[in-house]
Amino acid sequence: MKDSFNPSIEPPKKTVTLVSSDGYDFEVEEEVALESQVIKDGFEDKAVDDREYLLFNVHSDTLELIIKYCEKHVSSRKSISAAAASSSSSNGEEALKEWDEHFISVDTNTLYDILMAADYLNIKSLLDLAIQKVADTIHGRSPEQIRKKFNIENDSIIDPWASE
Amino acid sequence: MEKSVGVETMQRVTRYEESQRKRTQEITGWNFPEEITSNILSKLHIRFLMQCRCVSRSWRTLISDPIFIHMHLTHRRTLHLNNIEDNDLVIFVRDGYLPRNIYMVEHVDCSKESVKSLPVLPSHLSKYQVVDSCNGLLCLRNLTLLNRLIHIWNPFTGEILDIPLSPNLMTSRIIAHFGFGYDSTHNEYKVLAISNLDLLDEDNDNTLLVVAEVWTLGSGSWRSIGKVPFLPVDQHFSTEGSLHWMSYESYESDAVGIGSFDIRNEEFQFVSLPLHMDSALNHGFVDTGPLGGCISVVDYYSSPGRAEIWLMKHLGRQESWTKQFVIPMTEDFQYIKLLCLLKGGDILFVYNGAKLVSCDPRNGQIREVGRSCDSQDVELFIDRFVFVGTLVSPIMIGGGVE
Repeated sequence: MKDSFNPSIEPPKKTVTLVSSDGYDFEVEEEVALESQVIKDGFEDKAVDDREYLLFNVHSDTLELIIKYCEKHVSSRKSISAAAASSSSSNGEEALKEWDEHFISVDTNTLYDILMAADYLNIKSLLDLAIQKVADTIHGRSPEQIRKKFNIENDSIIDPWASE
Repeated sequence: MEKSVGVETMQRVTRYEESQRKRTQEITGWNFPEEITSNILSKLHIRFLMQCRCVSRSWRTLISDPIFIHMHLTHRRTLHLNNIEDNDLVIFVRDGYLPRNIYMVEHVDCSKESVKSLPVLPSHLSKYQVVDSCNGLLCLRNLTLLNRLIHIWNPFTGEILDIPLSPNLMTSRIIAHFGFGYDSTHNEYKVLAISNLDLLDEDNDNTLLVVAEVWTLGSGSWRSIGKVPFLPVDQHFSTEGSLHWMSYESYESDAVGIGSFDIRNEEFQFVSLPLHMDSALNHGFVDTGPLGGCISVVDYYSSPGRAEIWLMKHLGRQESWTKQFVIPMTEDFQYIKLLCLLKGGDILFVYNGAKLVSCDPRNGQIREVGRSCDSQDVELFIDRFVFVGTLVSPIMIGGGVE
């Protein structure tokens, strides 16, 4: 499995293969995959040539987004700590927050998929982001609007707000 | 730059055409596991959480669960203690001792600031004094002679727990001081009652004994915790985990400071005011209150036309008093009552006992907030408390009067 030929000067980056529920392979850098606590746990015990993870609960559409999120967070963390080391001013944290906000502004179905995948893969920062987003969606809506937005069946007997 | 990294590393082995991947699946309802639903709902402001009880039966069941209520409380407290959420205030407008209206100002000093009415109290609570607000519970002292009780009220659920007065308080002729707070370590709420007992000593002289009793919610009885090593005079306020009063160091002394009670350890402590404040004190130009989690004292005397706000940076350490803010005051200025530090760094206080005002300490800019609560009418008594709305149930904690 190892590359026999590597044209670049840098050593080859270690990669991990993630396989989505619908059978797509995603080859990602090790550190990106390690954003998932589930992958991180027991990672060292796995043989180097067996670093393939079958993610039965994550569709390729969602996995693509999840990888995008993890890559962004890995690279941002590096640039933030680099800026801190050179004591140059950086608005990295703010910029990342803005990026997160943009990233999570998706339709309800996608938000649902991201949240469930973040829970399954145990990526805490993404799970928190998605949970807050759903809470923000509920905030300010009437019970009827919430039911409509999330397609929840109305099984309440008493609904004091129904007449409003 | 980041984009190109993404493209390089995400080498996809495509087995189907791009178009084939698109799903047309519609959302089929709220499919989150209960744990995640709890997590989501625990982020909500009390007003919307109350509405969510009507969304479905399963939500209603979940929201009434004591574990969920505690989870919501913990989350709201974290937001409040770290000052990362807008503040809410509960405002009592009274005509003498008769209640007129209770309001809640939500998102104080923000663009979405709004004033909403809270439900009125039951009629047997016609005369009361508000002791304090803590975790969405309000502690009220009933002032009717026939009904000398303390009430713990959650205005959002409408639940009220009645607590009898302690034996000391029933007999005490002299002013009593109350406090109400939360011990987060043991998840306990405590009502503290300080009473002044007049005693005759060996020489038949009058001496004053200041004693305290604690009612832990759920315990069902008052418990004496002995002598209080200071003499509270006025202005009860609280910070996280402690209750405070402006106090004399002792009955004989005229040294003034802050007397504090640690809710968890049930220990008292006295710390003098900053040394230079003697002269201001003599003129009565000092107020105390909470600010950004610290005890603060406002000095109007040392610098004319301005209010100097000092903070005790480390609770219990006299040397940690620091002059933190100096804010200019207009000519009609008499006194202020500090309420809290807002999210954006502004100080929220009551001006001359009437107007609710926020002040940016960096430029001294003052803005009136929370209007439309009868606050213009200075004939009315107005109490204001920072309020963190929760579903904490005083009835479930129990142990009150049958």
